[in-house]
Amino acid sequence: MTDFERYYQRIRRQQKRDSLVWSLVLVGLYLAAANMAEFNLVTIWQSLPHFFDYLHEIMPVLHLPVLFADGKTEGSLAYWGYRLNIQLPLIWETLQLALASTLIAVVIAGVLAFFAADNTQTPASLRMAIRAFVAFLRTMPELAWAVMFVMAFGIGAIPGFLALALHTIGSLTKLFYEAIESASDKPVRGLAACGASKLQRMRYAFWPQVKPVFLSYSFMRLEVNFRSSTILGLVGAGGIGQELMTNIKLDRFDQVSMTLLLILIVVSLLDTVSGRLRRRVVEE
Amino acid sequence: MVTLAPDISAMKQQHPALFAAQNRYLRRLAMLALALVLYYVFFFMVFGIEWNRLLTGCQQLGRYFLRMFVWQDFVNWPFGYYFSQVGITLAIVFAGTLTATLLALPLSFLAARNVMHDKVARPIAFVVRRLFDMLRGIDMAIWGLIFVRAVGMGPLAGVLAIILQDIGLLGKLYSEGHEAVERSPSRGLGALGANSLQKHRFGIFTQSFPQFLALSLYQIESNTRSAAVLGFVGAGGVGLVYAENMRLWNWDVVMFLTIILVVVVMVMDAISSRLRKRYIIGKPVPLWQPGGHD
Repeated sequence: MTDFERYYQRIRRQQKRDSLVWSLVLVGLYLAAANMAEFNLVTIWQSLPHFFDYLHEIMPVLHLPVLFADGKTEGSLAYWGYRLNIQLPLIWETLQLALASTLIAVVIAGVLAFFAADNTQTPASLRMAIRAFVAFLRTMPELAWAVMFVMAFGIGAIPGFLALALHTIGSLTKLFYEAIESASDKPVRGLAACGASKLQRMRYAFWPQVKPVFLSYSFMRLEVNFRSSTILGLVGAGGIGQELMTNIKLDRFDQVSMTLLLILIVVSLLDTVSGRLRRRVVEE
Repeated sequence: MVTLAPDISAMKQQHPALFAAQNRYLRRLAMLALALVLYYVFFFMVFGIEWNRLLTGCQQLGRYFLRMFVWQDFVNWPFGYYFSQVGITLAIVFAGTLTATLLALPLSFLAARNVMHDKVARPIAFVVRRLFDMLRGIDMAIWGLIFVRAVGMGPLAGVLAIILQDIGLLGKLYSEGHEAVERSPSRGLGALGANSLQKHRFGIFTQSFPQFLALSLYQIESNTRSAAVLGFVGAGGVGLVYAENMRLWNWDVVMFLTIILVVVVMVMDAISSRLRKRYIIGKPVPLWQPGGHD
């Protein structure tokens, strides 16, 4: 056996051993987690039929001959959507919740991020305080915020708005300050050498670098927020969630599918629109 | 001595376009701010609440926050229960995300446009992509709600909710990863006589593997953060403890749980960034030296 072959065998053995050990660790962890979460093949096998039964049940009953008849006939589209006059305003409210909370959160997080980044000469104590604060904001679940605000302000859209806005401030600030930290500091130093003030350095050195990143994160967050705002209603914080939960709990099967369909339509519309806008704004 | 101060008024006359840019920018900014303010006026007109409700609400909130920082009877709290629920949340996230990864990987090949490029396969790719959109469009808590109704309360509903949501999300992201690969290795393999499965495995997946790993790790991390909502709808985990203690006005427990979760998420962050570094950049292999005593 040549020198090289021995070397090759040694490396190969080492790599094989490493991958075997790590795969075993991964499988062990997976099995332990699945065991803890009561997730195994037997229960899946038993419960999946229930799930498909449920899917089958929420399918609307539509008859082709009477598809366009009025709301009184069973099997028509109008009969399926008899609650649309309640659901459509709720979807509109959900959309407004997502938009309003995202906008205000982007403004606040944009300001906070400059104080939390470690290359903007902020005092370390302030920086750490802001980071701990936003970590708290984003780790507390949205629904926990929503429950808290509903208890304080009563049922309505404002608690949902506050809950989403706080959660979004938490997560956007983190993304934003990471973007600022990865910005190049050459323009900053150049401007500082010309005698630019702190504000001017932020505006003319950091801002042009991070603006596209900020915008694209904001659009992404708008999409995420619409999805989260559909669940705020579960605790009475406004939006379509309340309607959905009532439908699920009261077994109004055809209305469950109608509500889900509405949500899906709005989500895909929003995704397309915000994707277009993002491309236009970021590339401009 | 030469004066270095530039004659600004002369420059303004020479380059009016350059000096107008700043004004134009400020005008646009003002318009944007005005639009924003108008939107919020509209928003609060439609959805706002009365002043006295706002005031009492703020008082209530102040009281909650005060109670958050006074931890009464700390030694007698049922820590075993809290930590077991945190553990269950982690288990739900891990089992759910890993299963979703395993299921999403084969599906993502079916959705990638460069894998499914002939006439028969294109409609399949389209259908799979719409399926991903559907699974992704519905929030995890709503899936949880549906599964609680369909298979009963408990962590199993949570796992299934995470699986469905993540198949949609990961499937889409993986397939974008497959689509972004360089095409030459596949062509080279084709020229050597590799069949299409071999081409996908060695020509595409070797290139998209780092992204696959990074996305999966990131998803575990982000699910740890969002899985707490599952408990609110009865799908197991720490959200249940949140909901209970909020109803009982134990704001100190809420604060404690949040701190625990912050720590857990930070630990997960650290682990996943180390794993990412270790497996995406890889460990350097000592090179063979001719004449070395090896």
